[in-house]
Amino acid sequence: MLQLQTYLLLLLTGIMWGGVYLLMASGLNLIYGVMKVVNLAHGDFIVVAGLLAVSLYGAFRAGPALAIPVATLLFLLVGGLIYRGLLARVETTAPQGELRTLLITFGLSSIISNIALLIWGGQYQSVPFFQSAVHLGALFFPESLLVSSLLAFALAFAVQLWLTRTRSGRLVRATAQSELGAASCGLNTGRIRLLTFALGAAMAGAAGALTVVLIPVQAASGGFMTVQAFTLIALGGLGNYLGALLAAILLGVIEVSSSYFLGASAASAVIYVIFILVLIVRPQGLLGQRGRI
Amino acid sequence: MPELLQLQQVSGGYHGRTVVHEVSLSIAEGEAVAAVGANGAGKTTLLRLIMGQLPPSGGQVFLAGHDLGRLPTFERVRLGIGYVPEGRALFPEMTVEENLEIGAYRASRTELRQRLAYIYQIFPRLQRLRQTRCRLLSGGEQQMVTVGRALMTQPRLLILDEPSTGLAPRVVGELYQALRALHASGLTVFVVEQNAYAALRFAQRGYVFEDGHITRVAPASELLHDPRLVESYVGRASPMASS
Ligand SMILES: Nc1ncnc2c1ncn2[C@@H]1O[C@H](COP(=O)(O)OP(=O)(O)OP(=O)(O)O)[C@@H](O)[C@H]1O
Ligand SMILES: [Mg+2]
Repeated sequence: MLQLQTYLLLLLTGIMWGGVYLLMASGLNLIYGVMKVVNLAHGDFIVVAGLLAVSLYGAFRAGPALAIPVATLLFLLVGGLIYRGLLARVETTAPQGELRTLLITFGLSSIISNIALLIWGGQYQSVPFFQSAVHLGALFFPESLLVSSLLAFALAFAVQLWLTRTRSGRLVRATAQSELGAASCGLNTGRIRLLTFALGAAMAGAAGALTVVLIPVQAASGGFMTVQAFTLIALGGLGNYLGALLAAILLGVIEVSSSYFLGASAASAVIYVIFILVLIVRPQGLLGQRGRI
Repeated sequence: MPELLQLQQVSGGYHGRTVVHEVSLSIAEGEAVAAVGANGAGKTTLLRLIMGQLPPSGGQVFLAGHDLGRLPTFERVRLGIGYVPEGRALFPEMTVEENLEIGAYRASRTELRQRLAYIYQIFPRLQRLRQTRCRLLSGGEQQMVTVGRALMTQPRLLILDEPSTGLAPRVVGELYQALRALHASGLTVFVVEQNAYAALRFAQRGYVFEDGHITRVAPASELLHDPRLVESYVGRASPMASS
């Protein structure tokens, strides 16, 4: 009986962490799926949004209800400006175009994290919100984890609906599947790329402002977060939405249960072993073509 | 006859290497014109210059007398050039009907339905396949979707880049039969092909394209009966389009 309860707890906690990881990777996945650009500054967007939430809490005792909309709007704008000012000027079709966009986002990453260091210093910070425990039957969960994962799944679901059920979402998918095809249909693909990058950045902003209640961050945490998010979307098949959901749940459950049974340091090793195995056995990701944007 | 498309000494290429050299050509309203040339002659590059996919290093492109300048591709499509690119450029994870609908994404609901009905009348096979993802279609069916999608933009001029590539002879015949019907209904068509035989049987006039230069222009029937030309570009000429 106690055994079963432990397993259930591990499973549910794992799924919830999966939701959080999914949220933290969604923006990267959208941008890659549509633009074939790996935004190396993705983790730094998350970190800055988290630190911004810390400052909002420090100044006004404001929680995620304020921090999330503020960070979302701010990064929508920042993303739009970065696309207009930098990425739009690099032709991805030019020789080494992809390498150049990679270098630009890498440069952005170090600029952003250094500015963050100047503003917020180097110590880990968090926002003490949703600190209670929630009981579900005989099980209980940290409220911060429960809230973050619920919002994360809701957002993932909303994005999926937008991409598949709305007119603008469909045009974004068309551009993702063939930019030349989209242009031949009269679509302003430059505008769609702008929208995509801005939305992807906004999703990173929302993720950062929310998950800082759960995961403390400091100015230089961004690089690790980018790697983590990239691992997830590579496992799901780059740009694959359904695959990312599956990969997130898988990673969450594996991480939680292996840290329970083997200890925290072994857990991160297990995840990378699985990641490498998937790359060898199914380099196209868990689902391959199915579920592509 | 008024000129619908006119190129004046258009040049262009990649990274400083000129591939298309001062090409001038003109296509009149209602005409069916082919440009034939060997592998690597620069045919696709020429079309990319016309479509604004590539900035020209010299010369001008006019549509109905208006200089297209540096307009991006989507603006040219909106001005009435339908484009069937090399490699088809479909949306592979979308259904046939979704692909077609995106070609008319700015149209009203009723308008959209009318245009779809028109496409299904030209390519009845697509109606049966309307719920199928394009990734799963045969090459010929995919090519029909690409042509259909370009027609959904309601072009005045349809430009096709090697529509016969990779298709079985019988399918090439079917495709050109559809192009013939479209031309008969008043559409201006410009097709670029390595398969000189199929294209010249369809077209009224032909340009011969060699190493980025236009070396000849003549009525298609004349080029078709030039043994040198048919030999050099058709190679293993088959009586495919002769149905
Ligand atoms: N994106 C590109 N970057 C650099 N060079 C290119 C590019 N596309 C084509 N070329 C070069 O330009 C020349 C003409 O190519 P193009 O594709 O226009 O020929 P084509 O007549 O369409 O050939 P095919 O019959 O094989 O389609 C070739 O030498 C090719 O190598
Ligand atoms: Mg070509």
